[in-house]
Amino acid sequence: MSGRSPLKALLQFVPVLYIVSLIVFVLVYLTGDPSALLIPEDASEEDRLVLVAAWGLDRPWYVQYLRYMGNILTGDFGVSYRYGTDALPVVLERIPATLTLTAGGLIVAILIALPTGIFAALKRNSMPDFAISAVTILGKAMPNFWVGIMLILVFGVWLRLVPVSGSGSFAHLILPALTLGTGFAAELTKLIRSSLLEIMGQDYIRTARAKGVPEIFIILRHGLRNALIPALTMTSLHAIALLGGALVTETVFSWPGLGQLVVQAVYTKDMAVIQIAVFVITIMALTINLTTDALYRLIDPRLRH
Amino acid sequence: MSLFALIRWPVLAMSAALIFAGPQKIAAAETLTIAQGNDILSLDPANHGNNSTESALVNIYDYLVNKDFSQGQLRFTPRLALSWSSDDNIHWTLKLRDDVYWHNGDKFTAQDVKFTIERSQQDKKLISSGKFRRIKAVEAPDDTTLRIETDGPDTLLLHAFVGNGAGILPKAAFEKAGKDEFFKQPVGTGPYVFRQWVKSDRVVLAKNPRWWGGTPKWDGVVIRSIPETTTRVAELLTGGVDIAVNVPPEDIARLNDNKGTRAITFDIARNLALHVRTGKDRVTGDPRVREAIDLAIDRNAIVQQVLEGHGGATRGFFPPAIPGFAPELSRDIRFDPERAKALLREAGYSDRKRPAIKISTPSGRYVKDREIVEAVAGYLEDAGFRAQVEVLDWTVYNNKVVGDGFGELYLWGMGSYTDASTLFVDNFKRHYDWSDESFEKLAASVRQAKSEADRIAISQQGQQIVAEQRVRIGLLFPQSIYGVSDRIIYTGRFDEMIAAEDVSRP
Amino acid sequence: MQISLPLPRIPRLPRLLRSLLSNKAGLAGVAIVAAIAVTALLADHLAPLDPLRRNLSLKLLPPAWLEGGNPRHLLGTDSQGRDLLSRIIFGARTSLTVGLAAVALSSLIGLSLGLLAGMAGGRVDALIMRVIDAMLAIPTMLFMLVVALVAGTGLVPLVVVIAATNWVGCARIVRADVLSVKEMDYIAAARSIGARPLGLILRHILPNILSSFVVVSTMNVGTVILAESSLSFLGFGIQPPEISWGQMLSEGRQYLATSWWVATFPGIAITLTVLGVILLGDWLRDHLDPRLD
Repeated sequence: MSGRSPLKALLQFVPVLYIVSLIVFVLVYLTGDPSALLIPEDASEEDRLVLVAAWGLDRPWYVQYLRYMGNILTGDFGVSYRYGTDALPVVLERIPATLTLTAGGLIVAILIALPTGIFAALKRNSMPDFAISAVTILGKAMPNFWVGIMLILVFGVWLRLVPVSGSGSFAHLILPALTLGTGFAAELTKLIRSSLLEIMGQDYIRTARAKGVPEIFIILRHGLRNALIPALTMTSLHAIALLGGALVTETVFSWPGLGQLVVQAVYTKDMAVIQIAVFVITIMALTINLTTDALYRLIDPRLRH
Repeated sequence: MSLFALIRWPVLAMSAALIFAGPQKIAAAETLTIAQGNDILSLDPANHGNNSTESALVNIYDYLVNKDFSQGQLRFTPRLALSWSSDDNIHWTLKLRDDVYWHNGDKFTAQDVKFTIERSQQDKKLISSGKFRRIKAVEAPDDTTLRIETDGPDTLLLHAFVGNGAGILPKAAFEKAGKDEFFKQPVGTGPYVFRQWVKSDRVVLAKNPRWWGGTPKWDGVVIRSIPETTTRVAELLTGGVDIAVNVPPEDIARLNDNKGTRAITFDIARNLALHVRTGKDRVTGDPRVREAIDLAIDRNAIVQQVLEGHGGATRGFFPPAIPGFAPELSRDIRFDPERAKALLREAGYSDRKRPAIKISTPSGRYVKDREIVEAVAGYLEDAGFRAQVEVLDWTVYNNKVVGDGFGELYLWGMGSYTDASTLFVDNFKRHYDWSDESFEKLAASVRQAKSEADRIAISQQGQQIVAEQRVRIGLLFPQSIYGVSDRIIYTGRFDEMIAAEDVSRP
Repeated sequence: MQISLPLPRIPRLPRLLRSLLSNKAGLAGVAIVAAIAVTALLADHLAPLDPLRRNLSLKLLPPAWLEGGNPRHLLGTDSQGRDLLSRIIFGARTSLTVGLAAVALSSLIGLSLGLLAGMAGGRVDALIMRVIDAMLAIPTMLFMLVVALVAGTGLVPLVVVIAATNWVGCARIVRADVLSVKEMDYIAAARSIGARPLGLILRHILPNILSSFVVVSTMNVGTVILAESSLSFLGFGIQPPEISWGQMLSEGRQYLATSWWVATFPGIAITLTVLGVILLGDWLRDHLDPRLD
C-alpha cells in the first residue's frame, strides 16, 4: 500500500466513489419514504401526498436513481429535507468541529501512549508494565457512551473542572477528546511498546549499549523511528474512523460535528445530506491516505521509487 | 524526520478549527440559556412541524394572537392583532397594531400578514402549507386592517393564527432577499433578534430594543441542543444552562437538593394513548379483547409509580384546558383485571391459548414512554395476554405510524393541539382499520359547525365513540418536568413554548 | 499420480496447553470467557429470580449491601423493579449469541470473499478490493446505522447489521494470506500439475490461513459486543422481552447519577467480557501467528 503513486491512488478512487454512491443510494432507497418526517403531526393524508409529489418521492426507483446520479455528476446534491436548504453547506459547516474533535482525540491518544509505551518498554515484564497493559486494555473494552457519561459526572458535575458539553472553547474539547482518545491510546501504547522491544534485540543496539550509551537514549533515537511507520498507519486508520464515526461521543457531549449530523440525517432519511456527508468523508479519507503515503516516503527513503 | 511529523497535521487542523469555531458571546449575567432536547429544524416558521423549534422561534416572530392557557382554559388575547370580529364566521375583519417595527426598521403592515398567508398556501413544499387551507381570500384595505374570507363557517380561524406556521414574516425583506438568503439572517417583529445558529449546538438571540411590547427582559437568549438527558441535567447542575427541558421524574429530588437549582412540573397540551388496530385479522378485531385491554391496565398505579405522580390517569384524549375536553372520560376509570380475564374467556381464550399482542413505543420521545409501555405490557400479561414490546427510535417510529407498520397496539402522544376537533383529522380507516357510521357523520359536520358550542358538542360525542369502541385507549395526561436555575423565575407553559419574556429574574 | 507435499503447521493440543499455562494474561482471558460462556449456558439454573418478573413498587432498589437494599435482589432492581442479577445472567446469553452469530456470519462472508479474491485474481479481485475500499471509506457506525434502518430491530436484524460491516477486515486478511500462500513453491507446483481449485483450497490453502483467521475472528467478538451496546444507545438494539447488556446499559444510563447500579453492573459485564476476549485473542495471536502483531 505504501508503494503506489499518488496518481494511481487517485485513479483507483473513482470506482470506489462510484461504489460508495451506489451503496448509499440502495440503502437510503430501501429505508423507504421519508414523507412521514416531513409533515406535522396533525397533517392529513391529502397534505402528505401533496408533499410527496412536490419532492418527487412518488417516482419509480430508476427515475430517482438517474436523478441522483445526475445530481452527483453535476455537483448539485440537492436540498436537505430536514433543513429545507442546500445540503452542501449543511455538511461543510460541520467539518471544523469534526476536525477539531478528531485531532483532539488523536492528540490525547498520542500524549497518553507515547510516555506510557516508552515506560512500559523500559520496565518490560515488571508490575508497572503489567498494570499499564491492564489499564489500556480496559480503556478499549469499555463502551464509549458509558465512558463519556462517567467523565461528565466525575469531571463536570462532581469536580467541576471542565464544561459538561457543547463547543466553542478549548475547555469544551477536553472531555470528548478524552472519551475518543482513551480507546485508541490502548492500541497505540501496545504498538509503541512492542516496536521498541523489537529493536532492542538488534545488533546495532547491543553495540550502542556496549559503548555505554544510556538505554533511554537508544530507545528514543532508534526505537521511536522503528515505531513511526506502524504508528502512522494506525493513526491514519483511526483518523478516518473518527471523521464521521464519532456519532455516539458527539451525541453524548452535544458536539456539533459530522457524526451528530449524520445520525440525524439517517433518522430523518435526509438523502441529500447522507450522500454529501459520505462523499466528503470519503474524500477526506483519501486525503489522509495520500498524506500518509507521502509521509512514509519522507520517513523511509527506501520506499521511494 | 521527527515525531513532529506524526502530530503536525492534527495540530494544524485544530488551530485552524479553533479560530473558526467560537460562537458569539453575550455577557453571561444578562443572558438566558435554555437547554432543549433537540436542535431547531429551521428558522422558517412555516417549515418545521416541530414543537421545540417553534419554542425557539416564538422569540423571533410574533403571532397575530396569543393562545393563553394561564386561566386553565384556552383564551385568545391580542398580539399583532388588536381585535377581530365576524358576523357569520365566514367574513372576518382584524384590526392590527400600528406601532410595530421589523428588526430591520421597516414598519409592520397588513400587507405582511397577507403575504405570510399566501406564501404558505402557495409553496406546497412547506410543512405547514396546509395551515391556512380554509382561507379563501385575504385583503389588506389599509395598513392596519385585514379582511379574510373562509370557505365556509370556520369557528377555528383564530387557531390557524397560533402555533407552527403562524409566525408573521415581512413581505418586503423576504421578497428582496429571496427565501434562502432571508432565512440566513431572518427578520421578525419579536422581542429578540436572530444572531446566529450553530447547527446541533445553539441558537443565539439578542434583545430587540425597539420591541413594541417594551424593553425585553434579557440582553441575550441562547437556546442549546443537548439530546442526552444526563448531559442536559448535568449542565443545569453545574450552572451551564438556566432551563433544562424534559427531566426524568427520578431527578426531581436531586435537582431540589442541589444548591441553586429546582424542578418545576406543570400540565401540558398532550395525552398518551394506545392506538389500536381493529382489523378482523387481528385479535384486537374482537371488541371484547379491546375492552379487556382497557380494563386490565391500572392507570393510577402507572401514574404513581412510573411518573411518580406527575400526570393524571384518564381514558380521554384531550386535557381539561382544551376546548372540547370530555370530563366523563377522566372520571370513569376502571381497573378490573377479573372482568378483563372473564372477557377473554368469553372471547374464547384460555391460559393455554392466550391472545398475542404487540405493543410498540418510541424511546425518549415522551416522558417515560418506554417504561409506561413496559408497565402496560406487564398488566396485559397479568390479565392473560401474551404481550410483546417493540421499542424504536422516534424518527423510525414516526415513519412506521404513517406506513401503518405496527402490530395490535402502539403508544401515541398527541400534542400541541388547541382544540379537540383535531380528533377528526386522524385517518381512522387507515391507521386503525376502523370505521363507524355515526362517527363519520360527526366528522363531516364538525367543519360546518355554526358555533363554538356546536363544535365542542360534536367533538365530545366523537371522543365518546372512540373511547367506547376502544379505537384509542387513553392512558394518561403527562406533566412536563423542567429543571430550572434559582437565578430565574419560571413556571412553565401549557403549550410547552419557552418564550424568554415569560422568564424573569428574582 | 502421487506427489508428497509438506504438511501445513497445525498446533497440537499439549503445546497449546503449555503455552497457555505460561501466559497469565491468556489464562485470565480463557477463564473469563469460559466463566461467561458457562453463565450463558446455565442461565436458567444460575439466575435467582425470573428476569422478566416486574414489580413497580420495588423499582430502583439499591444492591443488597447498601442501605435500602433487599437481600432477595443482590445487585438491586431496575426501573421496572426487575432483578438486575438475573437480568445480567440472562443477558450473557443474548450478548454471547449476538457476538458469536455475528462473527460467524461475518467470518463466513469474509472468508468466502477473501478466498474468491485471492484465488480468482484479475477483475474479480479488483472488484472485491474496490468494494472493500468503499466499505473502509464509510465510517462503520454510520454504515451500521443505515443498515439498521433497513433491517429493523431485534436479534436477527442486529446480527445481520453487524455482520454487514464486520466482514471487511476478515476478507482483507484472508485475501492477503491466500496471495502469499499461493506463491509458495509446493502450491505453485500443485497448480502446475492441474490440481482442482476447490481441492487446493480445502487441502492446502485453508489450513495455512487458519491461524490468522481464528485470531481475527476472536478479536471480532469483542468488537461486536461493543457495537451491540453502541447500537442500543442509538436506538437499534435488542427488543424486550429479550435481554442484552447493551440494552440494559443504554436504558440505565439516565439513572447513572441517581441509581448508579442500573447501568454500572451491565457496563462491568460488557467490559469484563470484552477484556476476556481481547486477552484470549492476544494470546492466540502470540501463540499461533506472531507476525500478525
